[in-house]
Amino acid sequence: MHEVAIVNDLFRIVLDVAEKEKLKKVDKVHFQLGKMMQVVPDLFKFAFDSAKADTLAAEAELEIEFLPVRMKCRQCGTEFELKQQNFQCPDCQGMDLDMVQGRELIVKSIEGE
Amino acid sequence: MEIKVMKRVLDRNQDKAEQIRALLKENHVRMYNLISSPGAGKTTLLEQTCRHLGPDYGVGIIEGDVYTDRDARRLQSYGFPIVLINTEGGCHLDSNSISGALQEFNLQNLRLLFVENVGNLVCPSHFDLGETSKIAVVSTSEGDDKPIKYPMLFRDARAVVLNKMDLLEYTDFDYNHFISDLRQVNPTVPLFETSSTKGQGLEGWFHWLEQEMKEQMNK
Ligand SMILES: Nc1nc2c(ncn2[C@@H]2O[C@H](COP(=O)(O)OP(=O)(O)OP(=O)(O)O)[C@@H](O)[C@H]2O)c(=O)[nH]1
Ligand SMILES: [Mg+2]
Ligand SMILES: [Zn+2]
Repeated sequence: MHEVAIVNDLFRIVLDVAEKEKLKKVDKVHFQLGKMMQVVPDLFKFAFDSAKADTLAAEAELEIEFLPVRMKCRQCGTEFELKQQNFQCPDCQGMDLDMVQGRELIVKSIEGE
Repeated sequence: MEIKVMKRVLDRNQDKAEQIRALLKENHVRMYNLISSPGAGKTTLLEQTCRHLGPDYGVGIIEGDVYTDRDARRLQSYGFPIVLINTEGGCHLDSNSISGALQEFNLQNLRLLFVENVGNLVCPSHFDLGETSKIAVVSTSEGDDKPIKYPMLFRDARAVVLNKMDLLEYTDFDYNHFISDLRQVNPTVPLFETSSTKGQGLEGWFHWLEQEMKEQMNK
């Protein structure tokens, strides 16, 4: 249930920005979510809807952009999308890889007025 | 009106974790974050490890427990400083709670700090505590598919302990399958096969820890 902790921190950011920008209400939150974070979308949406009550974002919609896991081979530099947890370079079969995408939890933008 | 934000969630946890990492480094303390499913054997492994290292080794323990102080009490008899963090139902420790717990220790007297995280394989792997390394503990009674299901933890772990080896023959745990999955996810991580209750297979784990501690002293 790290979903709840993530959503709480997300709201801190959203409400912070809304206040700075003097918004009266927030209509939409655009959020980027790396697939390696193993967030359950339904749980996440549920946590979002629970947290938004009685805030400036009470009617806000959550738009999640899922980012696939991308790996980079340290041996040959090839970048590829991870599928079925197959941590192996498709070009040189090397297994020494860095994750270059997949752990994002980013509030990209908010819409409001 | 659309407002560009581009802010990372949990960055406060990350910042705090980096502060902790720096503080521990300054004090030459290594911190190991033990992560497993509930009941895989973290406390039992810690009991054995405390017994092996003895009270003069400079060990400290931070116990993350959902509601109780049972694990902390089990470990108390070894004479090491222990700080309990009750998460009040929360499924993971975070760097803020660790930072508070660290104030209860005299870091100058410590070399090695174990953190027993809350029993759970998903959430704790996503919260950096400022640890030197994560240790993944799995047991033969919980199925052989953990590395594939929770690849993040098994990639991040600096060591993996496969516990309850004494139960292997009574379960449907497919050992070869486990090994091949683990190696697919992390080809190089050291693996220790133990039975913590029987005190078997622990030499490799102790040896590894002692090597790690030597590295620290040479730094
Ligand atoms: N057969 C067998 N039982 C074990 C072994 N290690 C631990 N156990 C038993 O498994 C149960 C759980 O062990 P703990 O050490 O409390 O596990 P834990 O990971 O600390 O559990 P939580 O803190 O609740 O997540 C206890 O009854 C232990 O005696 C082992 O190697 N073999
Ligand atoms: Mg325990
Ligand atoms: Zn390659």
